[in-house]
Amino acid sequence: MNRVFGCKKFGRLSSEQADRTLSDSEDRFLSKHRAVCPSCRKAEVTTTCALNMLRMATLEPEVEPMFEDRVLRRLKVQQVRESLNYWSPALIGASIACAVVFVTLRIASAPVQTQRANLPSGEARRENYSRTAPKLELDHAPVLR
Amino acid sequence: MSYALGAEAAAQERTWVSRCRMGDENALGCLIARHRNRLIRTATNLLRDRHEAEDVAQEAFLKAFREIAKLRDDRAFSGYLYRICVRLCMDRLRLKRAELVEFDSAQPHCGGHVENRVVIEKLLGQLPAELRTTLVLREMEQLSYEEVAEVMQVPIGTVRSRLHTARERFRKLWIEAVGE
Repeated sequence: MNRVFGCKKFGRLSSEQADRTLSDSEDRFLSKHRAVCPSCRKAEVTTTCALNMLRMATLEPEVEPMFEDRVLRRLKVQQVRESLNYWSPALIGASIACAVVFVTLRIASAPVQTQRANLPSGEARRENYSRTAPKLELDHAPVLR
Repeated sequence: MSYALGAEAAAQERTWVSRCRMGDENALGCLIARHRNRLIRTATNLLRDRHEAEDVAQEAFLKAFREIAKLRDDRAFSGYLYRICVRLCMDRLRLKRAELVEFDSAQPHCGGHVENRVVIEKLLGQLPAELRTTLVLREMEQLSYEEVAEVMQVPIGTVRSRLHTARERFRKLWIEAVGE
């Protein structure tokens, strides 16, 4: 289809006329262009039709009856989770410190276990094992020069 | 449909917001009850899915209440909440892949209301998130240019050009779908 001068301007003004009041000169331009350009005329009709269909397809909200309760419950869960996230490094640090203190105290308070043999009242003993007398091997002695 | 409140409602909302800051659960409930319909409606029209829309509305409330202490102006709560909701919807739309649907032009599409809705959903699915959001906020939610610009945090000129592009693309997709 043949397009004439000003089709772009017509498209822009045609779109804007739904949103604002056009000036007289803009209105005149639209009327003149509409009269001479069948392509723009058709485009305008199709746009109007398409946008009407779009407006007709508007969906109305269906709010669930417990919506508020669900939001409030989620809000509480979120607050608990956030406070846990905030305090968790401190809690972990504190529990590690507690564990260290506990282990240290436990080690310090445990009685010292000494071997019975080392006790003062213990009996001193000497291990008896067979000893063989050293052998002198003079024949193999190195000769000193 | 504007998201701005009347003077009396705004004053009441300011009270609720300040009570919310002090942890008043009743005030939270009042704020939810006031804004839930509008949020769910907008989210439903943007996402075209009622369950997802409710989920987004809940998320928006949670996010707004979490940040309520940081809100400088109590009067701004309504717009702040709406902006969060629209932004969450846009994030979800960006994650969804554009559905490329081939329409059977030989089949007449002059059918009923439900069929029209299905076609519209498929057409909207092919628009980028920014264009789709601008179109829906203007045509379905009937927000003004200024309100759309504030919600999307873009200049009015950008809204104007996006709206023009969105209408043009929607028209072309519509022609492809229903035939000449």
